[in-house]
Amino acid sequence: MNKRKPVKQYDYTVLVILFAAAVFAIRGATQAAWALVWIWGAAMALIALSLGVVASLSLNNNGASAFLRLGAQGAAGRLILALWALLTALASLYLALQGHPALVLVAISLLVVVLPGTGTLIVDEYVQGLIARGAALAGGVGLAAAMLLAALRLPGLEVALGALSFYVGTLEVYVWRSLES
Amino acid sequence: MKNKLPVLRAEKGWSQAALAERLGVSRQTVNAIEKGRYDPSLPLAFKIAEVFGLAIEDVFTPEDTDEQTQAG
Repeated sequence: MNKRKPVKQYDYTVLVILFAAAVFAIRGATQAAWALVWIWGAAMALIALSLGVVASLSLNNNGASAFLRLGAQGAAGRLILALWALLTALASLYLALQGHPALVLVAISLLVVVLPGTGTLIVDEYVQGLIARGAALAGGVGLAAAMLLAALRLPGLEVALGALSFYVGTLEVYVWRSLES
Repeated sequence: MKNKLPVLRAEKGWSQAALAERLGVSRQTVNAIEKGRYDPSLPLAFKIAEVFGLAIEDVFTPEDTDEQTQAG
């Protein structure tokens, strides 16, 4: 009915990784970490904006994890996405230790989404409904998290990234648990 | 809405995944329909009936009609 042909976009993920590697070589670990975290934040914000219209979710049950699909296909694609998620999680943890504690939320949300693997799912009418309801819930949770983080007087960037983390994690858990039941 | 999908599927010897593939939907959608957690759209309901070679009312039964029949 709505069997979307997977879009091979994991090559963009490779570009992100290569870009981060270039930043690391030129500007060092901290700048490379910020590059990864900024790109993650921009990607999640874009997905949140387009959810229900363009985005698709990759979900994997029975032991595997869910992941926001950017077109992962085959073992190579899933490996690249997992590598990107791992690098971004490490980058956020690194920055958290560098004086930006809220960024640990980014790492947590990535772990929730990526472990232990990735997969794909046909986003049909039922799953679209789940996504829509999940996005509504996640939006509320994200906004509430933003207010709480702001109340802690955190910098704006950390508030934004923290709110996005709650959004992504809530959406992931909601849809995954709904599909599991 | 009630449905006879599990029975019809068993008669055909199809798994949920096999039926899902025929319908072009996810296995989770078929599971949700069978368990009554999701009512399919009209196009999907017609497609389900077509796959089984039945009329749509032979596959799906409204809850209130089912209850009225039992009360009568």
